[in-house]
Amino acid sequence: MPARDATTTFVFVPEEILIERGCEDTAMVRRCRGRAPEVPVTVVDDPHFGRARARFGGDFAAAKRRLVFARRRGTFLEHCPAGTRGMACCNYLVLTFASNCPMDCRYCFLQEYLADNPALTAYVDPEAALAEVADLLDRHPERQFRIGTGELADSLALDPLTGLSLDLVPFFASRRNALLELKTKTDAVDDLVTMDPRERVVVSWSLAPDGAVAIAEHGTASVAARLAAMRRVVATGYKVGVHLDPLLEHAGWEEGYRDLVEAIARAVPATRLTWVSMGALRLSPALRTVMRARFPSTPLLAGEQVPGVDGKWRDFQPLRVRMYRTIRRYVTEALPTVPLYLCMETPDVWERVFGAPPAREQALGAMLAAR
Amino acid sequence: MTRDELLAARTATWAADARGALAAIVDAFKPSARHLGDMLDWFDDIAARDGISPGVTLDDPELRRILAGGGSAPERLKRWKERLRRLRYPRLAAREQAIAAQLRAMDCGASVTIMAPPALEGGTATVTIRARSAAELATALERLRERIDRGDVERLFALLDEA
Repeated sequence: MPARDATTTFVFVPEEILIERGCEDTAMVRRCRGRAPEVPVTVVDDPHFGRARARFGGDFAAAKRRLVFARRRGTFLEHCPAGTRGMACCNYLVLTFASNCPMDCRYCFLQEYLADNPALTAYVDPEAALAEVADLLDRHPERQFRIGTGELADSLALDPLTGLSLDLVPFFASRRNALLELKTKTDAVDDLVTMDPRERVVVSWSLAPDGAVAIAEHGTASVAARLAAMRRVVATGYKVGVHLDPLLEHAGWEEGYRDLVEAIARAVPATRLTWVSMGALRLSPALRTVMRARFPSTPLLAGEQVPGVDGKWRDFQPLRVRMYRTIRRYVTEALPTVPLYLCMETPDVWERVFGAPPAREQALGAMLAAR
Repeated sequence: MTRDELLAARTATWAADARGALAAIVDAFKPSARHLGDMLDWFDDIAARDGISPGVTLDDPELRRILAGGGSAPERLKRWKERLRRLRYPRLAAREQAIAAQLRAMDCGASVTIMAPPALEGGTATVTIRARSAAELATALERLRERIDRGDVERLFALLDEA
C-alpha cells in the first residue's frame, strides 16, 4: 500500500470482479463494468461462493481485493444493533447494500463479524431494498425514520464502481418521512454532487485526528480529503454529519481532537451540520482475538480497556468520561448549536458527560431526524 | 486449547531466555489456560505499547521477587498476576490504588464496607452496613454521615468519575 499523507484520497480498483450467474445483466453490474473495464471478470455458478474462505486462501485482506456481485438472500432493512444490553439507543435503522469494505481499519468489527463470509459483496438488487423501505415508510407516515447504509460496509466505498447513490438519493429525496445517512471514511462523492438531495440525505464522515488515522485507518482517505469532500457535498445541498467514533486515545489526542473539531467548524457551516456523535473504541473479545492475530503490534489492543455491561471492551470508564467531556467541550465551543450524542454508551456515562440521562430512544431519534 | 498448546503457539517467536523465564513461572504456579491466556495477552499488549520484549517485562524485579518468594502457588500466582496487571493497566491500577487508599483514610469502621465497581465500570459504589441492633446501625450511619460532611465521600466519587 502506498505511503499516506494529508492529501491521500480513497481509490479502490478490485483485482477481479466475480459475478453470480444470473446477475450479469443487472444495472449495477453493467454500470460497474463500464466504470472499470480493465478489471477481469469471472461469472460464478455457486450462489454461496462468497462464503468460501478457501477462495481467498483464508486471508481476510485478500477478500477485500475482489469484488463480488450477488443477490441478497434475506432482508435488507434491520434495526441498528447499538440499542442492546444496557446501551442507550437512538432508534436507527440499517439498510444493507454491501458486505465488507475495501479499507482495512484495524479496529473494524467486520474482520470478526464477517470472518466466515468475507467476500466483499455488492448486492445487485437495490430496488428490492428500496421496496422494503417504501413499505415501512408508507405504513408509518406519522413517524420520522433515520436509515443508514454504513453498518456492514462503508456507504460510499463502492459507489465509484456501483453508482448505488444514483438510486438511493432520488428515492429518499422524494420521501417526506425518512432521512438517509450515508456514512463513510472516503472522499468518493463524485456521483453525490450530481444530485439534489432535497434535505433528505445526510452524508456523514467518521473522523479522527491524523495521528489516529495513521495508526488505525488503513486505506481510508486522509482527514483533509474527507473534509474537502464534505465541503463539496455541502455546496451541492447535502446535510452532513460527523462521527467522532471510535475515539482513539493516542499521543497528543487532546490537541488532535481540538484541531479536528476546529477544522470541521471551518469546513462546514453549523447550519448544515446535522449531528456530531462520539463513541468509545469498543472491541468484542472475539474481535480482540482476530486483531491480535492480524495485527499483533497494533497499539489499539494496548489501551486500558476493560469489559463493559455488553461484553465489549472499552477504555475504563473514568478515562473515557474524561475523553468525552474534553471533546464535548471542543464541540460545544466550536459548534454550539449542533446536537451531540453518544453512541453505544451507558445511561450512567451519558449522565456524567451531559449532566442528564439520555432522552428516551424515540425522542432522541426524532430529535436527530428533525435536524 | 490446552495450556501447553497455548504456550507453544503464543511464545514461538519469543527469545529463548524469555521462553525459559515463562516456563519457570508456569512450572511454579501451574496457571490454568485462562490465566495463562491473560498473561500472554498482557505481555503482547505491553510489548505493543512500550516496544519492549516479553523478556524485559518478565525481568521486572517485583515479578521475580514474587516468583522467588514464599507462599502457596495459588497465592503467589494471584500476587504475580496482579503485579503484571499493574504493568499492563498502569492508570487503571493507579486509580484503583487511590480509591483503596481513600477508603482506608475514610476509616468507616468494621461494620461498613464500601466497594468500588470491578474495573471501575459503571461508576457505582456498593455500600454494605452490617448491624445486629438499632444502636449499631445508628453508630455506623453516624460515622458515614461524618465522612460525608467532611468531604471524604465526595472525594471517593470523584475518583470514580474521571481519570
